[in-house]
Amino acid sequence: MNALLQMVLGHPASVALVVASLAAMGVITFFSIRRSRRLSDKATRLLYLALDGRADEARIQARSESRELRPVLDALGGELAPISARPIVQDALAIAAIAILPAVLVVYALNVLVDVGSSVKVEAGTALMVGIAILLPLAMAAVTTILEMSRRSARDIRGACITLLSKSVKTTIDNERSEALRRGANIRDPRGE
Amino acid sequence: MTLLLVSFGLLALVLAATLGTVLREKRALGRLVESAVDVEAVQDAITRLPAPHQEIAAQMVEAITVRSTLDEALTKAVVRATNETFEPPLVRRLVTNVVLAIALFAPVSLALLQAADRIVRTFNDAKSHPAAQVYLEGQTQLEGPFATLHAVFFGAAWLVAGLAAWWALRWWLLRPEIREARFIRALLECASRLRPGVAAPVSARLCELVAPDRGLQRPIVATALWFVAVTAGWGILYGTATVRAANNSATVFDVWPKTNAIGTTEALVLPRHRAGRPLPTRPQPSLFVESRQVRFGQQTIAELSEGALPSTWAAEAPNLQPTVRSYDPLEPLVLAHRATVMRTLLDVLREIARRHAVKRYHLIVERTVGLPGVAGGKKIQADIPIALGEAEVGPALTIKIEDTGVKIAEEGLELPFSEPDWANRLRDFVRLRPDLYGGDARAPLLVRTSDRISYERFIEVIGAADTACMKATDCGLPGLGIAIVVQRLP
Repeated sequence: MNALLQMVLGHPASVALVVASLAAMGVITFFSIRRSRRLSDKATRLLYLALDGRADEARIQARSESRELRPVLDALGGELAPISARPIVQDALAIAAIAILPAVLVVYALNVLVDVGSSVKVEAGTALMVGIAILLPLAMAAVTTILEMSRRSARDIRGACITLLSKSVKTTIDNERSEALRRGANIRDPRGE
Repeated sequence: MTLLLVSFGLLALVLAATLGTVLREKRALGRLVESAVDVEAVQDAITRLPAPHQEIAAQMVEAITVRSTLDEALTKAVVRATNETFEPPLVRRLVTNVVLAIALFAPVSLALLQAADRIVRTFNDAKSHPAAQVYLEGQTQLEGPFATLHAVFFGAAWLVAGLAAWWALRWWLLRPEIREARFIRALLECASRLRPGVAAPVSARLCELVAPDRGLQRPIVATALWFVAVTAGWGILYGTATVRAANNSATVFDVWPKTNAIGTTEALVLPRHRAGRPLPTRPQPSLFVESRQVRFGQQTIAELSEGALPSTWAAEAPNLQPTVRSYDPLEPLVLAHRATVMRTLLDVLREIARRHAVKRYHLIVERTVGLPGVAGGKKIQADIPIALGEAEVGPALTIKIEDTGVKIAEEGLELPFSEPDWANRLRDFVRLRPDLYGGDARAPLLVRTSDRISYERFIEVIGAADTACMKATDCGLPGLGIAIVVQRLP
């Protein structure tokens, strides 16, 4: 293993690429997790504000938030419509960025390997293999982490929307019933059962 | 490979766990609905529900039977269900995902590390081998790990496909929105059976709004993206991998001279074979055995009559001493027409060896090999060295070239020329004898040949023994460098 390590270190550019890829993966994952948690927290805060009777303030705050919180804004507006799906563009970009990192190492190392004038082919080849052995499972782990956090935040946003929606539905039905009673329609109040 | 099987086992396990969860959940919810005619039976059914469902269902049943209106209780239950994740705690799930991802790719990672380790060891070992042996030694050492690597990557591709299938199945049957919908439906049916005939307008309207999208648009988009990603990945690898295994580009071994050392004429067509090594760098005189004459450099030794030497040629041959004087040791390069009869060639070689104490001849053959920067390869001259007469050390193997085939008496092997794979069998047999080509102290191959065969046939036999190429085409590798001693069969 010591000889392998020495050989890998014999191609510093590949080693630097692996380290940079790992760092980039960490940074992308960290910011994705932070973004997802921030969205979840924000959706919950907006919900509590609305339940606290400060729906207008919640609506104002929601307007200044990103497009991903648009469903909460719609629910705060009292719109009785199915909850729109949360945009996944940012998550898709983060996943694509992570997937590209091992590919960059592969492309770079293969270029070194096929370069006729290269004198460090063995070093580059072993660095490529060791690098891929490290990056592949970690990239997969990073992708699953991002997806999991994204799904959790989507779930939290949906939960907040439905809680708000239930209030709107109740208000709408009460209004419809009052209107029907006012017009003298002979309807039965089911809540009296 | 064992790890790969473990990974497949792991995948099968999570697949079974997914289906098991779905079936268990459906059965428990079905039981809840069926038992909803009696409060005690419902409470019993609730205890058999999965953990996330129990509290919500229990509170709804209690609210319906004790204090709240049906609509209010149902709405609360629906809202609570939509806020439930239906999954283990986040940290546990993240850890599970990371462990699963690493475990599933562990076979690939391990195979890559093992192959890299073997490359380094082979590279370090190769420094102590003679240059001609490096490729063969390396090929032998690396064949196993790279075959494993190929198999593991092939298996990993199936594993990733299986993983994608599992994710799709899980998304379809077990994502929180689907579990939530299944649960809400069971709650609605349960409530309607507990309080038949009671309307629940709020919860009914709410359920309409929270129903998950079960259209095919998202799966179709996801499938399309998946194929685009896989195709892009494959495209990148295909486009960038100009290595031999990836795109079948010609192999280039940078050992061959760019130009041929010796010019030939139309009367001299050299035999072709994918054997032999680069010509010796030290200058040596050339012996030409053409279709009508034999020349030593510019001096004609004999005129041939229908390919045969005149009976008096040895006596009439000119004195070559002034020509060969400057070569020490004298190792002539032999360029013989491919149709030359071996009797003529052996007579000439033996006579020159007798007169000038030649210990080794270099038989020149033609090959077409890849050269750096030369598209399609180039026709070059290669050298198969031979000695005549008796071997200085005991031969490792003796082969007889008869008119109809090759015989290896000590092994009881007969390879008739009429069989199409005789050359491959001879090559494979020699490959199993590293005492012929491994290391510095290699023993010679004694070739006892009939003098009635053609020179081309002779080269075919010794070339089959010497070649390092495993396919019919010229791989560009120098031959094994077997020490060949040639004798005439009586």
